Amino acid sequence: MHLTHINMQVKKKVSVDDLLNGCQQRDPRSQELLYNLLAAKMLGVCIRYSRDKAEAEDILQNGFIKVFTKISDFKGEGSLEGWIRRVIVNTAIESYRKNQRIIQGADIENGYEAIQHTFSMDQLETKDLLVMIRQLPVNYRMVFNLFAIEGYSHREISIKLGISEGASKTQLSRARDILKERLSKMEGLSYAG
Amino acid sequence: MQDNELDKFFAEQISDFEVEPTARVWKSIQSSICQPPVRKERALFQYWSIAASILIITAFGLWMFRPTEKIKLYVNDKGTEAISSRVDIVNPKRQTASSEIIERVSEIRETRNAHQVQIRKLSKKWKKSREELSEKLEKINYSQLSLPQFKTETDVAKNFPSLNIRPAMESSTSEVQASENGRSVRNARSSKGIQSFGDVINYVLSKVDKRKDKLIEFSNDEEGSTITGINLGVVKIKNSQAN
Repeated sequence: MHLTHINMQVKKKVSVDDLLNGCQQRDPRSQELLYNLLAAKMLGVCIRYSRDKAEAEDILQNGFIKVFTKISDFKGEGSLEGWIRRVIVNTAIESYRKNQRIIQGADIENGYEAIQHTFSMDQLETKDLLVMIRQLPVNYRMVFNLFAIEGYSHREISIKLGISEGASKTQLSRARDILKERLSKMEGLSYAG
Repeated sequence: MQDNELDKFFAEQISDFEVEPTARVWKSIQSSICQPPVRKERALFQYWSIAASILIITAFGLWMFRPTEKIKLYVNDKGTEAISSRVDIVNPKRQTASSEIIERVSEIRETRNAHQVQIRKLSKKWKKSREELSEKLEKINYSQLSLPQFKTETDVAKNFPSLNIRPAMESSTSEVQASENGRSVRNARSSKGIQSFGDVINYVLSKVDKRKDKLIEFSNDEEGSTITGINLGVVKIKNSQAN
């Protein structure tokens, strides 16, 4: 684990942008290097949008296939990493919209699960915060991710998710309410503990 | 906690979160991004195979129906040289076959020539004998009939030009006697007996058909038997010149 981490760091010296040319020419070596550089980070993004790791990996896989097939569309506006991140997020949105048609909001009720750990605010780990987000009802999770973390506007979100701007705003505030409640609960628990 | 603060807190804590994916993900990506070039190659191969098969078919077709000079089998006076010069030299098989044909043709030609010579000889012989025969018959008839009309050589010569008798003097009564002589000739013919197939038919019909003009009538001339009269009741054809 430690070795691979070092390996990753070394590879990062070969910058993402250096691999653009090779990937545009469909060079397998460049493609693999680019994947190795960004896979872990992008899976971190995918995890926020999915309930479990398998679902996250599916998003990552489809996202990277899109990256490699559409990389010639990248015109150098902004960083390549930023563009790849947007492709991954869009893939996550697509996946959500596809699943939404099947599930039809059945997620909202069973989305809640009591967090069993006890921990203080400063003890809160990224993992725990991720768990909180992932346990949000799926539509709240989408809006919160896109607005709070990706920085999309309500207008953009409404277009991406196919909902009204008003719905986007309400879902965001609901998501915040749930997260606040959970945080205070944990704080309380930690204080009590 | 303010809304903005909450968002910021989560963004800071989460945005750099990294998880190493399982090896399965890259393998799937690799296999799906490697497919297009493979497909391209296959497509290219298919195009090549289509092109090759078209080429083979057209080549075969051209070979099968390639234009070749027709073998004209004929024999001229110079013999078989002319034939061999016209034979397709591309196909040796065909050449041997044609040389065989040439041999056979020349064989046939030789036998034909021999036959022709024989036929000519025979026909000459036959003509001669026929002439002799008719001469004899006419002589016999003349002597047997011993008609009082045939008093001069002129009469005989007129009625039997084949005898080639040069009359010594002209007879004034020859024209008057001509019709009677004609009748006598007809009698002579009927009394000649059966000489040809036509005579057989005439004989049979004379027994069956009692009309003046028979159903079919043959008469003998130099070339053999010819039909000189047909009587079908309604339609009557009669060659009067022959009589």
